[in-house]
Amino acid sequence: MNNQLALGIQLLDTANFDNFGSGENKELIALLQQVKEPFIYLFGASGVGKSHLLQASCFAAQQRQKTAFYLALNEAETFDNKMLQNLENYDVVCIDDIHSIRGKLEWEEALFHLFNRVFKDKILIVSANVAPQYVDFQLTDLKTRCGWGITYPVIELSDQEKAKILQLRAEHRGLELSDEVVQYVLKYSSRNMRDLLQFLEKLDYLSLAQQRKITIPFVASILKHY
Amino acid sequence: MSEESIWQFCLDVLEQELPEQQFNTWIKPLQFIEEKRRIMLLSPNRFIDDWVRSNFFKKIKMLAKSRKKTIVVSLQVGNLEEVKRQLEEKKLSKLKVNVPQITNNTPPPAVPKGAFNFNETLDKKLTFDNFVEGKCNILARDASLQVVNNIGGSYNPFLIYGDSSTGKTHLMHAIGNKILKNNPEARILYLTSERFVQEMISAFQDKSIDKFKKYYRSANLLLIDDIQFFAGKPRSQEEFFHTFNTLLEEQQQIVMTCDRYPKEINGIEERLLSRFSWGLDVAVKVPDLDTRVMILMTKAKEVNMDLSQEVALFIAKLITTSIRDLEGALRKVIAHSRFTKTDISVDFVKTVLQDLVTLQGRSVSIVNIQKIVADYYNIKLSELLSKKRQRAISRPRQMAMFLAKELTNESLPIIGKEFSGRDHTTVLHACKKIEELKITNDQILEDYKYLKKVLVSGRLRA
Repeated sequence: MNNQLALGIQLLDTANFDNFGSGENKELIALLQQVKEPFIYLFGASGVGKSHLLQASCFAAQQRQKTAFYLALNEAETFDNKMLQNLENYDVVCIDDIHSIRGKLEWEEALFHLFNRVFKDKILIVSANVAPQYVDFQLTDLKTRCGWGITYPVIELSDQEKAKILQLRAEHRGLELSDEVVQYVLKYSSRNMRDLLQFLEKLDYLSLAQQRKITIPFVASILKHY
Repeated sequence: MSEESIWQFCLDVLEQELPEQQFNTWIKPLQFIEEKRRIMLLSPNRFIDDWVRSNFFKKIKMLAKSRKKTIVVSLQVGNLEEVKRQLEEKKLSKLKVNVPQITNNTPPPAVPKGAFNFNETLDKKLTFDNFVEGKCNILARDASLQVVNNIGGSYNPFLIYGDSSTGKTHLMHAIGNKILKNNPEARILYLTSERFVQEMISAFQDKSIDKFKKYYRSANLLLIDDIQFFAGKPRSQEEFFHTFNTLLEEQQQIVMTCDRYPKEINGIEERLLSRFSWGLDVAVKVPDLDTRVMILMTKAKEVNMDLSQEVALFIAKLITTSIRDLEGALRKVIAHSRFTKTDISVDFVKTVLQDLVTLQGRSVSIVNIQKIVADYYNIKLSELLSKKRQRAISRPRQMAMFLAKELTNESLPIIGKEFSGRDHTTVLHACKKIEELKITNDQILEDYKYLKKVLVSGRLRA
């Protein structure tokens, strides 16, 4: 399964702040939880958890009786930039992967105008793969507006934290992952969090299908084909 | 701090520093008039005036500015009562001239569907009072005030242009707010060119274009932001052109902003461009250092945050790109200070903005390079800096020197010095060696690429 939502209309039910290991991101998470700051800009490499944080922010907003909207622009190919119209009617607007539309002038303009409308009295949270000054938008206005946000890099979790999250997520699925198994996975699998979670999903499915206990040999056999 | 207490402070210091006789002869006779942000000093005669000006005036200004950076100190020959009376008169006459009355005899036309009400879109927070002036924008600010005082006069249309994030929109709202304050009945519309286009299109679709026209043409003041977005939209330009003409004929004021000199925009009709230049256009420039400092101080004050001059100067020197970047940096500093419950000092700011600094590709420090390289090759920093010559240590050392040369602006001798006082020829040798190895040894090339990526992208683990 792909953890990215196709059209962001619904939110991943698993994305909240509790199951995101905070690691070095404590300050950022505290700020997101408050749902007060008018504009936050997150950036980081693929798989560090940007989408998760954006979606968790939507949940946090909804828990505070605010309306929230999540949209991932990496799917922008599949829809029209009219999609951005009237989003300022939501209290919190989360736009994921804004760098994906760089170079598409019409999209850049539409995003720029959306920013202006949201800035009036609503909250904007966006994510991109790099810091604001490095997104090569053609529209300078859009670039400078990005700089107005509080910028936070999303810092990759340490292996230890990743291990914790894996065990927590497994527990939610009713799986038990021993420390040894987790260490083994972290040694031999890609340690990108997204890959790890996908692996967990596969593990869950296969252990059920094959009626196997989760042991190191079992995990090793899956990783071999993974 | 009031102007009077600032002057008192100057007096106190001067009294202590100057011999009594000098103080009594030259300083004491000066009369003080309190004006907003201004210390006005009157000397009784030309002789004293000249003497004070050449001997003490510089010192007085310095003292006053040490209390309040924006204070203006002036010195002139004059009599207290007389000058006060003149000032009052000037103020009164200014008031009389400065409030052009707007009378709207007819009731406002109906608001078209989806359009804003008059005055609804003015941002009340953006005023002349909180507009930070500096060399970069003083002309535009003064011209904006002129527009307020001569609505529909010779500065019509009024166009403010300049790079993104230099305060154009702020000035535009300030004009609107000031006019509204002077004339509570004024009909003011602020909107972006994008919004204008959108409303016009939906008016066409609803067949309510007449209503649309009537409405926009009844405004006393039309503020259109970012007119560059009219480019390539001929139909919107057509409609805007007519609205524009009607307003100008009726002597209603139009104010526009643009991210460049309009003649440089492609895709705007010639006749519209020539209309734009009928009135006055004025440029705003990217803020200079002093202005950036003032902006930071003002913004911090708005959120009740104490920011020392020193810290403001540090941030202003670091962030030179745009006002928004400046605000973003300040907000980050404030958020971090609140989160960690730490006071804001220069060192604190350094740590917080480290990401920004490194991410701007500015200050990859040698120390940082040494740490990351040592870490990467799994050796101790002390080993990297030691005299050891085995290859497992010397190769990483050479790599670190090479990166230091490439990623910092330091000279070879300085780099050598940072590596336990080595000679610059050693650094040179290291650079040559790595340069060769990058071609012949794939592993070295990989190491180099990785380390560089980590270093220039800041704290992100690649």
